[in-house]
Amino acid sequence: MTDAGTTAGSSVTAGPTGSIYDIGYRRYEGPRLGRGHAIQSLFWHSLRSTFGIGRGGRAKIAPVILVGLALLPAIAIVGALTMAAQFGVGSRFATNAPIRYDTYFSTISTIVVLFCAAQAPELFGRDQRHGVLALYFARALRRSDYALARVAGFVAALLIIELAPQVLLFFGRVLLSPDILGAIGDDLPSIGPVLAQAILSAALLGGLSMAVAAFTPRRAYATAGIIALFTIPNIVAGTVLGLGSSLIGTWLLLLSPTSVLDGTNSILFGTALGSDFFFIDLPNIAYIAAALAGIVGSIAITVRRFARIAT
Amino acid sequence: MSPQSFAQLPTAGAPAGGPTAALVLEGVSRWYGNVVAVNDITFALGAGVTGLLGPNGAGKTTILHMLAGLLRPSAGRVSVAGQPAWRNPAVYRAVGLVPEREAVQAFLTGRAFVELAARLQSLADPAAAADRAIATVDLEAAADRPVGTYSKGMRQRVKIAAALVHEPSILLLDEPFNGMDPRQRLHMIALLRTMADAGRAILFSSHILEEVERLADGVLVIHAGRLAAAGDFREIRRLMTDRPHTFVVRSSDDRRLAAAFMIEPAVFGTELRDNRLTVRVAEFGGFTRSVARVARDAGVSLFEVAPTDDSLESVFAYLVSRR
Amino acid sequence: MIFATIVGVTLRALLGRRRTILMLLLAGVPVLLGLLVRANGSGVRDVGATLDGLVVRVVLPLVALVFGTAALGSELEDGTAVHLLTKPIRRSTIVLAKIGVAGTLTAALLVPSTVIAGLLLARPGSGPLSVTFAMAIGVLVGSYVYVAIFVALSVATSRGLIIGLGYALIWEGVLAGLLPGSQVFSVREYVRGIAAILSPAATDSIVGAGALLYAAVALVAATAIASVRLAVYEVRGSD
Repeated sequence: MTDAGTTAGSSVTAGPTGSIYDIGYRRYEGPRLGRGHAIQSLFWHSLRSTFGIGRGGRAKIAPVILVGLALLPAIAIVGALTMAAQFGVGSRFATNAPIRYDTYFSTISTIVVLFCAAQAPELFGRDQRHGVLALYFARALRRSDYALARVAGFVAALLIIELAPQVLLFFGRVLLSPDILGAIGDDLPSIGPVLAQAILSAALLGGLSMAVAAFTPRRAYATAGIIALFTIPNIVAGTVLGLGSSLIGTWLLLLSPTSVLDGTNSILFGTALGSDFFFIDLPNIAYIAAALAGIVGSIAITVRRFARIAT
Repeated sequence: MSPQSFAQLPTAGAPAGGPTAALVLEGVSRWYGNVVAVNDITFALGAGVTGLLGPNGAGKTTILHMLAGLLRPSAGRVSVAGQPAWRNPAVYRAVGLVPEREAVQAFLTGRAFVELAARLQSLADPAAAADRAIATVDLEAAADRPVGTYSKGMRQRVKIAAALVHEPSILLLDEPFNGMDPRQRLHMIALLRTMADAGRAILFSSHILEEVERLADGVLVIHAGRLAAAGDFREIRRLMTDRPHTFVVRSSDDRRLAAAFMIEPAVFGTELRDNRLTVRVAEFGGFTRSVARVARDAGVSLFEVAPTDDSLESVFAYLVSRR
Repeated sequence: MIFATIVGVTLRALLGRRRTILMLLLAGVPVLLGLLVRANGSGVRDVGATLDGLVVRVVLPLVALVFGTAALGSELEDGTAVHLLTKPIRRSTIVLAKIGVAGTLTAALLVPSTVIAGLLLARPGSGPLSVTFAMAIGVLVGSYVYVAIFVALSVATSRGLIIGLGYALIWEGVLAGLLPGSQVFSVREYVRGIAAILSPAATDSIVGAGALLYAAVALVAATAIASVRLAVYEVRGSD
């Protein structure tokens, strides 16, 4: 759009020449990254926002405290193992420690629930509150992409919270053991169940939390709803089952996410089911099926919600 | 700009006094951490309409909220009707605030909202007071619809009605003409004028120069938290002697007149364009005294001599550009 | 009267359709449990423990949280509180009205729920209903104390909701169990203590007879804190 390159006020050869340069708005004609990249970006953004990264300091308080609390039992046990190793009873302590891979889920389940209740509303609530959904949907991103990317980011965050302490526990036990290779061999079989349980619980708790959060821009309702969903069915089921075996009780148990995850935990690690399950007579596969149904169902609800939401 | 000590602004009715003036700020500053929102402001206002003029982010809302007792000054003193504004709910008997954010519960009807304000003010007959206020802002037709269905201008008016319902002697309005169409604006200007003439002290903020020019008796120019100027804007203009004034001249022979003007020491520029002669002058007084003589000596007839930039806009632009 | 006016406006604001339905559902859960237990034929062995586990530990804090934060905190957040703050009304009056309304709503939902659930849960012919009514009274007092704390939290900080939840779940749920001494600071224990005063069979409680006093102190302290924080509440503009 420019002239042959002479500047204004140039030398007087064949008469004065000048150019006017267009420095206004220009279109972008280069390569565009497309839908896949948009989905990826939203995923990473959701993951970071869940931990408060990329937002102000105040947004980090709740996640940091909760992650710290989730790691606390692992740190405590590693500390205790160190002490026990000093006194030479390390190996016995390691086998009988109160906090192990298979008990870790129930130890921190309250913390994980609180994390879900605190952070899931942030991911969906803020977009709805400030009316930016129209901006998201006006991009290469489809509505279902938006929902799935956000949920995936949140589930990934939960996965980190569930796995980090287990990893810490693993390294603590292995490095503090007098026979490192032997310790690795002992703990290796646990890795599969640990991963499977972490994935199941992250997906189920994450999917359900996000499904609740998707339906309201107000933090208070979403948080209260998530807490109610994760605590009330458990209590109701436990009370009914405390009276004896019953069909209603069994169904209630399957509708309680935390109970289902207790069930899968026991199955995967091969340990006995807790006292809540005393009157239940279900095949093992039932718990896994219930967990998977919950995961798929909650994600489907979320996607449908955003497919129909008015912007 | 020299610091102001109790800048006295022109008033409509009673003269503004010192400490008994309706709205007084003395050396008031407000900061948030390292950011200074309002920087050492001093003024006193009495009855009449004053415009608080400044670009967005200059600190207008901060000043209004401090006067309304919703913010504590970090330094200095804020007095409203002789009392401190902060932590003093009793002051609201005499003050009405029209905030900028459109925050009214959507499910209330306009009448219910104004009546609620009247009740909370402990008025003897809330319903009658509400009716009067609604009639004053010309909202009778829509008064019984929920506020959620109002347009932006109507919401402004209902907020003004609620602020007027207890007939306060001091009225603070934050960008009150936002969202009003020209007819509503004229109506509101007339209303505020009437109230000011009756002896109320009214302070309103705006970044639209025409509104301030049309309505305000005096203006407070705020920029980046500092008080850049206070008083009648024509007077302020006159005070800025180091800024060039511009005149437009029509005569029988513009070019000859222009040449004659350039000899005068007060003149430092003339421009002849589109059949208009524009003269830029360093000093106001000298030029006005000499223009007739110069024209006569040059043998040119003068038809019209008019100053072009005595408006608030040029004042404002100049003040803002100096910082 | 100004107090009545604030009560009226708060009542209308709190009883929005969605919120009312959701809270009715929540308050209905104990009744639902009672119906399920009845459907099974027998009653539960320990009505007090069941009511404690469901109503006092979960439903009461949740309902109090929703009403408590909505009464004042949400108005401060969305700016509608400015119209209330710029009136010649003492801040303590405002706070008392808000706590009164939210607490009464909570109690109005949960006391009947507790009573009905307790009646349904009890074994037929198991004797006097003192346990149920003792718990109901405890829930009545607990409603106001919880609501007062949540109102104070929502005025003092904008993250009041999460802190309130953290208090209810972590402090009362986990720590108070681990550190018996800290139960003096747990509203749940006050509720249980009051129930225990009225009917020793209801539940065992560490705070015992002092529960009523602790609850009163907590209520007064929360109200005072909320009033003071409201008096120094600052409304910043964007300018």
